[in-house]
Amino acid sequence: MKGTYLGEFEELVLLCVGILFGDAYGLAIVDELEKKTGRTIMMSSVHKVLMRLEEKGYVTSHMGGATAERGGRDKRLYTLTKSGKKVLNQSRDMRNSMWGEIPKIVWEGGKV
Amino acid sequence: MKDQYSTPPRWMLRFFNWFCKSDIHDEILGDCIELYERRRRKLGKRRADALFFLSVITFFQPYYFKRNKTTSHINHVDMFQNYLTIAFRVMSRNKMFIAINVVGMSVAIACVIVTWHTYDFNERFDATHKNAKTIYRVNSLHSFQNQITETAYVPLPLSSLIRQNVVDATNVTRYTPSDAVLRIDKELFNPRISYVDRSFTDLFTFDLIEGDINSLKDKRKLLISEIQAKAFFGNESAIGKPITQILSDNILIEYTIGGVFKQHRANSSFNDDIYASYENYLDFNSELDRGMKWQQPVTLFLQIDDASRLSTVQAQLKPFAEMNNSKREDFIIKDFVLDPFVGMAVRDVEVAREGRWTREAVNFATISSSAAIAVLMLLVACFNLTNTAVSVYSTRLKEIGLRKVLGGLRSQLIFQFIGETMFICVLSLIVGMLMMEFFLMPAFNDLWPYMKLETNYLEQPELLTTMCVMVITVGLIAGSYPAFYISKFQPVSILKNDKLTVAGTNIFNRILLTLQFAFATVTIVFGLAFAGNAQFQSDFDLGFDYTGVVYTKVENGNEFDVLRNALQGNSKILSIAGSKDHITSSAYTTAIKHDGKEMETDVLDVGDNYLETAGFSLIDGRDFQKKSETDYKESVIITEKLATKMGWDKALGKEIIWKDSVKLYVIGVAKDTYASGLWAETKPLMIRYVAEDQYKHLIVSASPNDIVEVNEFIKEKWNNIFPNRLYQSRYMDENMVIAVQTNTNLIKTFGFLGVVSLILSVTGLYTLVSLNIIKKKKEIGVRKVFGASVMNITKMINKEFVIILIIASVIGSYLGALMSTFLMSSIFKYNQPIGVESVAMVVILLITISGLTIGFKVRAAARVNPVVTLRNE
Repeated sequence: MKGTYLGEFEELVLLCVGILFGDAYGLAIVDELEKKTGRTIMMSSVHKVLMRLEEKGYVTSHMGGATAERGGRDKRLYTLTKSGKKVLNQSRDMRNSMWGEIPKIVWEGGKV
Repeated sequence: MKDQYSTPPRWMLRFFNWFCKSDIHDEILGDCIELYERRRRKLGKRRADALFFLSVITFFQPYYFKRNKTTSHINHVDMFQNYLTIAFRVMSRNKMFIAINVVGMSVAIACVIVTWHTYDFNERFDATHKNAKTIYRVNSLHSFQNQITETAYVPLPLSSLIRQNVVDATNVTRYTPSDAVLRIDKELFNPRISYVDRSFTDLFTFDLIEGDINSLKDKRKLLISEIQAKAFFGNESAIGKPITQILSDNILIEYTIGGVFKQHRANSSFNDDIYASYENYLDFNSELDRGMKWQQPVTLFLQIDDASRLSTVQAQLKPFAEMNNSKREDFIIKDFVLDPFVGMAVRDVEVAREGRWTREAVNFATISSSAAIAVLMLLVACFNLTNTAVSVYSTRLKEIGLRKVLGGLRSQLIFQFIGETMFICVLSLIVGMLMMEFFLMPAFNDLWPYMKLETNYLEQPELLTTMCVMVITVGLIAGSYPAFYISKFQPVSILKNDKLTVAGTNIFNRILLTLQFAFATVTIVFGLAFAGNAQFQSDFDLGFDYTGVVYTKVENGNEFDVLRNALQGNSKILSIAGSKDHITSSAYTTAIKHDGKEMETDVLDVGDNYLETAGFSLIDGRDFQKKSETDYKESVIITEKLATKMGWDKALGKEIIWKDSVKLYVIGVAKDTYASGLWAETKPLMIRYVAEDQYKHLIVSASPNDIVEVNEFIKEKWNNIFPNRLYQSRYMDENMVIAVQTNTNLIKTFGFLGVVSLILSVTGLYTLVSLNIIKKKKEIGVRKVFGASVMNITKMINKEFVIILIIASVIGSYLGALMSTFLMSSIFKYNQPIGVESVAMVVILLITISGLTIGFKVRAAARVNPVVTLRNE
């Protein structure tokens, strides 16, 4: 399958799917991302990413939760799969380890 | 919380539904609508709509687009076989209709091909000459009484003057067509021969078969064409063979054949069989003063390689015009012009160039009329095909319904139907091409023998491409309307009620039918117009007797005397006359003056008995008195035309000044003579009397029945007196014969087209009437139940067709009369266009034929028992 490389935006979306456990669908993820990152998120990119993530096997979806507000249409609700969780952890671990290797002097503003 | 949920504008939703993948578009749309609701509450409907649209746009990217059905589960190969089978079955079930359509379409296609050939004839005129772009003919601007006429000839001396003085002009060559009496062994021939300068073969491209193309540098060599070589020498090689030219006074000139060339095609300026050196022409005619006689006209060609030198050359020619004017006050030339060889023939025929001795192209009127006819025929055939298709398909509705139910797509049906129409068109193309080759082309070449069209597909690939494109276009045009219309029907409506039929007439069909009938009317009007014209022209009085007169040329008065004496005693000969000039054979133009008024007129110098023999009628005054000295010196007889042009009421005794000093007096007025037949306007004529020693013609008149026998008699006597000379005689009716032939040709052509288009139109009418009747079956039944008579029903059905016929006849006859008059006047100067009675006759004929065609059908429908039609409710 496609490489396990996780893009920055993909990772954010994946995290949101985790946060919104049980209610992770397109619009909710958009709202969450906008709230958390403060940047304008296009719904089309979120949907595209979600479909890619599903192709890669990191999330899985089911239909449900139709409301009158949506004109009676179903929502597609996403949840993390095992490999999704694994890749999130891998990502976090890699970042943390790299973060940890930065010498103290960088944080204290030392000069070269 | 607001209870009212409003949706974004429907068109936005439709747009989204249209482009987005169907499996995911529902949830995306749901999200968007949820967002929309939120925004609507906060920002109002307007902003919400706009933002909604923006979001939809952001989804307008290839990732979200609908994918085409990736695999088509249609088995194309088998389907194609099925289509073919169905097509054949349909055709065999409707043989009659299809056959008529194929014939009509083939005729139309054949017409298009013929038109293309005539167009190509002009397009490729002189195309074989490689140097064409740098060749020019020198024309004269002849000035007379403030009118300038550009003529195709120049004075003979101009050629030497240009050669000696104009550096930029190369390959200057003179061209004078003539004829000669030639003898090979003991056999005499009288072919055309053209005298040209050596550079003629450098200038114009000849396809040499054997010998030397530069033979003409030798005065005693001839260049002949392949056909001529065969005529002279059979299959033997012609090169080096001796040939003798017999001049007048029995002088013999010996030649040998220097080269044989392939004859040029019909669309070439030069169609000569024999070329000889110009030196010979100068030798034979000593009065030409070794080429320095200014009164002698000649056709002159030259080559200018550098186009930028054109104006320089032009300027250098002007002084030569002055030279001419100093030597010839009776023929003033304002200037000489360089006429480019490219397109020369086409221009010549459009302006009716005076003095043109090269072959002419086809005039534009012919090409445009045949193009118009071809296009109209094609349209008629095309529309008829549409009509037939619609009516034939109406019987296949069940098939369509079933196929749709079984999953057939509308596009498949359309493809099939258009394919069937295309098939018919291709079939018509093949039949049309065959018809062209074996039937129409030979007929056309019979009618217009100077054209000699031939189809050479290898050399004319544009013809093939044009034909294919045409067939495809016609197939599409004819087939698309029925295909789209029929395939729209829904299976439910078809299969539920198997009495459903296609609508009979709608506005479209009616317009088509009107056009068809209009065109049929036009062609029939054309045919009748020319028939009437033919009658008019055969009754036309040309002013001289042309049916019972034959003439031959003699060298001088002595010969005339000898021959005339030999002809005495033949009771069939009515009268014999001698003359220097003879109408239709020779005449010269000159300028005359009266009371200060100047005019150009033709002149004939005639001898004893001329007016009587040639059939001129005197309406005033007297004939020349035999051997009267006064008459020789100063008497003239003029034609009515001259009198009218001069403005004379009473012409007798009026004085005419000729050549500025000679006084002539009118002693008689004759009826107008149409020396150019009916083709061109007649010119004023002045007849003078000359003595016997100047005679060059012997003219004999007899009754039209005897004239051929008399001609044989003269020939016999001639051969006794002049055994070494060929007897050449001509009848006077040549002009009329050609006119009659032209008329007959056109009558035949239009008659044929008229019949074909009439058949097509009548078939179309029959089809539509049948459909209409079927559609209105129930209506007729109900009306009959309520007491309508057969008459009422008939009227009801016929009403709409009568309107169509009337409109078609009116349009058709008006257009037909207009176009036929246009064509006729471009061919003949004197003609009789179609009259109102004839047009009315055509209309009545059309209505009668149509009436007969549908009469039975309508009557039968009107008499049907209503029970039968209303039964299956």
